[in-house]
Amino acid sequence: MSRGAAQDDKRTVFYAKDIHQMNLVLGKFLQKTGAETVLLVDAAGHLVARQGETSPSSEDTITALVAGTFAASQAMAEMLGAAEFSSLIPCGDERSLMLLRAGDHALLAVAFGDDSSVTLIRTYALESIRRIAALYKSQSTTNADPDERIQGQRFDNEIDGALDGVFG
Amino acid sequence: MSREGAGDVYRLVFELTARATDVPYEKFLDELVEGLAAHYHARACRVHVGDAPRAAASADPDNALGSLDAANRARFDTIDAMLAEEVREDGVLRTALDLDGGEEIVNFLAREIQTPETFAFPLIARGKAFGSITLYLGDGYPFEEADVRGLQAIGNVLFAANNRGDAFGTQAGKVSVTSDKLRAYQETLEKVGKVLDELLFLTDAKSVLLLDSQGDFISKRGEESKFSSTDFATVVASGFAAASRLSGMYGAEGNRSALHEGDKESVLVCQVAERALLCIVYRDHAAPALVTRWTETAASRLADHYAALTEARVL
Repeated sequence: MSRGAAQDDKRTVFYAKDIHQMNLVLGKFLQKTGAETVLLVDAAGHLVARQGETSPSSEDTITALVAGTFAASQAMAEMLGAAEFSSLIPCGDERSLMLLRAGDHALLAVAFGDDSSVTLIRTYALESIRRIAALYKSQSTTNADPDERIQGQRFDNEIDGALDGVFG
Repeated sequence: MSREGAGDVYRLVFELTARATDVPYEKFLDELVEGLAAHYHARACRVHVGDAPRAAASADPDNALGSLDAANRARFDTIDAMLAEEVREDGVLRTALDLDGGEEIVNFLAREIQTPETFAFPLIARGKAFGSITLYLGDGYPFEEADVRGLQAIGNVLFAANNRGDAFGTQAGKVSVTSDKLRAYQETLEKVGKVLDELLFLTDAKSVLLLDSQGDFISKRGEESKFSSTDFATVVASGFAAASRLSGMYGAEGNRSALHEGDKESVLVCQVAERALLCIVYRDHAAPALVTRWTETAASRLADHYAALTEARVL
């Protein structure tokens, strides 16, 4: 977050207003899926938000590689005429990484163990991405929100309701 | 009857289809019905392909059919053909009870061959039913989704086998060479091509590509694409390199594969002997786990040729 905060005013406003809610969304995702780590990375490879265990290596390198892998995946999708691809990368026998596009400006990277269901991870991730995309959209169309905490709590409850509705 | 679920079914299908490209079509069908009958402890198993009234292959492990008298055998054959025809017409799984006079038919099968449950699975390829597999079970068994998916994957392989002609083992237009080095080069290319052909055949994939890890295109099988295979190879290799580094940061000693899934098509990339990449582009598949298994096996076979490939300077 400090890196983002150190950038221009517009980006600082974005973080101050929305990062809390993004972290709520990601935290809820981890809680529901049991995944190890979830990173929200912008298209250029900058970390926007993260939840879960500390990354095993330099986070800057990881986010850059996430963006690089995903860019290649999207190029493949374009060549094949697909709207988009998600990527699944095995990391040894016990862990995998899933990369998914999160709206037009970001992507989600999820590290999870072999005790987690890929289908479950993908389903919850898509729901989280929908929420994050909505946050991105509201960030670009509104200037300020008078009460971030209330809005964050509302999102938290909405996610609870939506996911519980799907999975009981 | 105890079984282990999806892995068990997929292992069966993997083993049954592994020889599809090595033996004549008729022998493959015989091995298929015998394997299915043994796996499901069926009293009989039959496969129908196309609109022929007779089964293309039949397994009768307990001689349940062989012990029928002529009249009952004819009646059984009629029931079997009716089931196959109905399944082929609309591609929907049926039991004996679904036929006209279902109860009487079920009673006949239970009385004469001691089978309380009969399931006829459609064989579907390219969205169209072209045959069926019928299992006359010795005891009631509720099939799971994995069984249906596994049998569907057999459908794809059977369709390809039925339409393959002499795709394997023949070398139309083969150029005769006298140099030992050139002959070795040619033989290596043929071996690589055969592995790619067989992978394409088993998975019903859109295309299969072999490229080196730097992104240089080596060989391709399957449909012609609108884009440049060389460009695609470059993108695949760069994506795999990044994915490999990424998995290394999460503790993997050597990344072996990466899967990119789309809504209609997916791309699976497997490493071959740390020097090359095997890339398969496949459509929506009933059993993606089998596609992965077939592709990893093909990558492993290509790795076995690694020394010859290097020597022949293919890689």
